[in-house]
Amino acid sequence: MRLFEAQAALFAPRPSRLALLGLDLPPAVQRITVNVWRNHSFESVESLTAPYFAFRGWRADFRLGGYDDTLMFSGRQEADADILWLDSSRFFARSTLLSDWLQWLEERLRALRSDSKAPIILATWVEGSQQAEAVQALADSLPAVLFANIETACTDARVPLLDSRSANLAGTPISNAAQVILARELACHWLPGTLLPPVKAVALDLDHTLHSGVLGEDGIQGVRLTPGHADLQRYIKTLQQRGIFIALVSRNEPSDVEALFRQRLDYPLRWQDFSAIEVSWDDKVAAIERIAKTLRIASDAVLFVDDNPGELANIAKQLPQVHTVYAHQDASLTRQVIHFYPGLWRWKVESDDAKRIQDLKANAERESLAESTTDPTEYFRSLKVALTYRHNPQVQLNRLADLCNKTNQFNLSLRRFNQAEIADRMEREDACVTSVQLTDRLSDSGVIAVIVAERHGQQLIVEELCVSCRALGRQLEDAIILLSLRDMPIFAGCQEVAFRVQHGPRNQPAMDWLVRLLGLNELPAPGHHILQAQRLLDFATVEGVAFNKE
Amino acid sequence: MDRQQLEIVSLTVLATVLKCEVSAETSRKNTPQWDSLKHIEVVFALEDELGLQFSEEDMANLDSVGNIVDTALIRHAT
Amino acid sequence: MRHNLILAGPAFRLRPIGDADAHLLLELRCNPYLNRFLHATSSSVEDQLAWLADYYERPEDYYFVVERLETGAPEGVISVYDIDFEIGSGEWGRWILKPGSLAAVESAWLIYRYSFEQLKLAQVYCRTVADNQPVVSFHDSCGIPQRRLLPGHFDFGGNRVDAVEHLIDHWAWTQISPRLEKLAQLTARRLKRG
Repeated sequence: MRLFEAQAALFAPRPSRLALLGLDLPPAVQRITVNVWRNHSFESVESLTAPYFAFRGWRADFRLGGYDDTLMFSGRQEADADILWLDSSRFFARSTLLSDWLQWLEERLRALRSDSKAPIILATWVEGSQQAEAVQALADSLPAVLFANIETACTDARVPLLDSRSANLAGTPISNAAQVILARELACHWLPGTLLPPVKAVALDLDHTLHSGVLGEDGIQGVRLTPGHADLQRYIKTLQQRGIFIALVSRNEPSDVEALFRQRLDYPLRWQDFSAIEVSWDDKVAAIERIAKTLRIASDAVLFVDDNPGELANIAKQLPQVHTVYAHQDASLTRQVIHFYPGLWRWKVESDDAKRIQDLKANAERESLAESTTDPTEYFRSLKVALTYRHNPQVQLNRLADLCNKTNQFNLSLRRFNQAEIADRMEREDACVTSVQLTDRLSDSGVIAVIVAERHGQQLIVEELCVSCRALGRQLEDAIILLSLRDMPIFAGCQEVAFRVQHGPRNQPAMDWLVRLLGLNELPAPGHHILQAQRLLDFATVEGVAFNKE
Repeated sequence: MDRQQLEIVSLTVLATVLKCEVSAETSRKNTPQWDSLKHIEVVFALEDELGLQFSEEDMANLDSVGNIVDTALIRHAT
Repeated sequence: MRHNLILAGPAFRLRPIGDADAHLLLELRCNPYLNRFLHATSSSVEDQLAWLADYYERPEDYYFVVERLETGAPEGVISVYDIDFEIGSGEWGRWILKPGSLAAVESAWLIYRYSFEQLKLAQVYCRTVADNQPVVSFHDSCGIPQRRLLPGHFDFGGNRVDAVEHLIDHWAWTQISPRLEKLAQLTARRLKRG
């Protein structure tokens, strides 16, 4: 309850420093360490991040380097992330050319990258959109380097970025108001977007959440779409465009709710916007579990929004892994809480993210087709299923790192490679990273598998093997995996393929697949499990499926 | 705001930021928790709560409850 | 680094530090009047020599002895270090002068001249313990425009203390240099009078 009460202070449009410092939130269960390399003060922002981290149940230990314009990264220790907290004006006071500074900065970033595979957040500001684009281009050119544009964050929040008085008092030119905003960005967007497993679905209650009033009491025309609720609904729609599922979970008569969305044309959200709908008098715990199953995601990727503290408490008790947000009477505050909920925001919307919603819709038709067809070849042919294999695709680096870190079920080794580690293996001659894209006539599922392998003598070692839930249950796992391996340049001449196995709480599907492939009697123990290379050479491609290589 | 109200706000800010007991006699000299980092937070929180902006000269002088109240009174008047 | 640079002004000069100056270093750094705002140092000559050995290996680190031009008597030490030629930045410090020395203005002027005119740096900064009022005051009175507090910058045996940073870029140097030069000349004339 303390967390819900704190929402108003934490997510006010202009949070009060005093209110934030006065919050007393439950202690954190999860810790991260972050190195901060800086040439201006970080301390007055650091103290403000604590309540935001605590809201999500974690705590950040920041290791501050000295004030160093030269970015020597002296004494670097391993950390979950590195932040470059830079007052760029200290460089531009001397150097008139942005290109000179960017060249130097690229060299420093590469130096840090050579010492560490942790993600790097470059938090600074420059003048104008052209300069910002140049910095963004630099960040995009390096693996796992992310540009946190401090100026944009302040402009969006409508606070001044700089205050000359701050430099003398606080060792940074960043204004008081900006420090508060940046603390929130750091703890709710930038670090969670880098380190936390993502929230993939927002499940919303209806009454007093998406509108003001109770449908069953006030009727379809009686419930009020306040400006705040309209804005909230519009905002929820934008999440969908970013590939985040929207679900409705409401205790109501299903026919009443359907009629509401049919008749209330002023509602920005439409019935078809919801990827999963659970409207009944059933317990919401069961409803949310069904929603997760329908969306093929784990329940810890669901954010549940409700105005009823009792419902939220029940979910927290019975499904503690589900994220919860209290829906305020002032829906604009609810919108803020959802917008800043750590784990929802992404640095970038990948094209594969946006495909997710359409792909799920197509599943219903796929399932219907599968039921009506007994011949797999005919099923694949009628759907025009195609698999496209790419070796070391640099342009897909983001998506592949996402797959490694977000896939929980069909993930054989749980190695969780990050962008930098994948990029490194793409460069090496003794390693290969293969992606597989799945399409059919109903939708483009995007890149649904990543396999990372290394050659050791006569052996090909599969270090990472992840297949997205989207591709499971279509009898394509063997084709996806075995053909990828067979086609890798480093496979030629191998005698054996060794699959690296690690047990996790949810990767039973991957274990089951390996049991079947190797003809095992029990679950494979952690370690390496051997398949003779001849089995790959003998593998027959699946009829009816088109295989493309790019 | 009058003197008394300013003192109440100042004491609230100091107590919240320093996380210790404070009184009208509290100053940087007699309160070890009130280091330079806490001073930054005190000054910024005072500006927010009092709705005013201190000059650079003011900031150096905000080192006791009494000085905070005196300075804020002057700022409010100007 | 080992270097052979000599910088001379009207009354003082900066010359390269060497092993023969280990006793001078010890004398300055162990002087209780002078070392209140310095990191703790060993009281053995061997350790000072070991420190110098490391210093000789460090590129972009120039350490000088401040000497009276007339007599060659050492009056203190000063350095410019942590130089990055790519961004054109360096820090000066390790500035210790014997009590009663009048070398402050001229040694500062010389180290700035060296940094801007010889090393062609675009900016030079100095970080002083905030409580070291005389030195902070000195830098303030030079008219250095860019000044900021660095909370908790120095670590003295686990105790973090604030620093005041004074930063001069090339433009500011063109404004400040004539003033410092004039003061150095005045001091030199006074010294000549005895």
